[in-house]
Amino acid sequence: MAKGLQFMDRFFERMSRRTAQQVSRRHFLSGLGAAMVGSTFLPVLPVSRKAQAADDPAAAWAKQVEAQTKDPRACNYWRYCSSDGYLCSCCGGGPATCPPGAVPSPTSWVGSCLNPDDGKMYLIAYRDCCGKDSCPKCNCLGTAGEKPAYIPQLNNDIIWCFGASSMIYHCSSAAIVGQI
Amino acid sequence: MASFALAISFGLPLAWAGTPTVEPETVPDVLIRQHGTRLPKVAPVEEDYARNCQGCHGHEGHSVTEVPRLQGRAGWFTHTREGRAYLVQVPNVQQAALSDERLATMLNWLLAQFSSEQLKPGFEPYSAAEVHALRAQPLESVIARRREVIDGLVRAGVIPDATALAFSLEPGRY
Repeated sequence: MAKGLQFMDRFFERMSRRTAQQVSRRHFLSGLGAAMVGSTFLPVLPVSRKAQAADDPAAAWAKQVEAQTKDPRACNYWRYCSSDGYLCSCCGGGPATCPPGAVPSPTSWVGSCLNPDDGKMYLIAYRDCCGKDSCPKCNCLGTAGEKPAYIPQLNNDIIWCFGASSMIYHCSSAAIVGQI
Repeated sequence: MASFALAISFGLPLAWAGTPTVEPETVPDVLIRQHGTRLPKVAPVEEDYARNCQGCHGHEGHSVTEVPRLQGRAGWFTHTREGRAYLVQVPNVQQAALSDERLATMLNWLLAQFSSEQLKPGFEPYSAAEVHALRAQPLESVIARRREVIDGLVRAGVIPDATALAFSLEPGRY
């Protein structure tokens, strides 16, 4: 290991010394200038922006779990990056619909997830389905962008049945609000 | 029970076509994936509202009786100095995870969007500096302050009585 590192060290030292000796400063500056001007045009090229969003917690989650868009009954379904609870999709509902007998809460918290198909970020409303005993299937925990419980409006540990006819939690749904 | 769960996972969604139950292939994901469908883009100011307010206040500025209604009401507060300050000092606005500038922009958007008719004539939009100064003075008791502000609006003749800005839509409550 140490030997390998020493080799790398020597290799890069030699490289940079040689560059310093052989390449004129003006040549270096013109190259740097070209690189700087060139890089300002890079972001407008029609390339996937996934890499740019890599520091976003939602993007990090999508990468970590290999988010997919085909099976809303799996925890790595792309909209569940901030979902905490039982998936309505596994309880007779859909990713954005309540199972029969449960009612969608009129209040929710809004987060965002990365769609791996188009590499774009979408606002997602995490809306609990309420009024029916809890459905203990497909328990998933995503915490992208979630805030601690002392900022309850952006926390997913609490039950989001506020304002619904019943505070009994059944399952969690994730509806698309729009693209950002 | 297990076979029932299995049936739900694989078979039933197909048999249930036409019911509100959503099968993976019918959700918009497939449109995005196969047809490159684009959903309407949310503007940055709307995104700030969506992330910080919409979950409870609703995307049109009203939701359940437990949450104060913004639509057709919030603008009344701009008629007095105290009311104008209150809109920034109310805890979830004051503590919102937004810069002063973005918060000012969002408040101005919200008032224009949901309550333009109630705005004080010649309403001067919030500036980042004003929001900054007001955020530095959090309220000790939001309920007590709200009552003072609303009583002030009644005295000034802006609203006929306190119920016009009741906290909850249930009558007789602030």
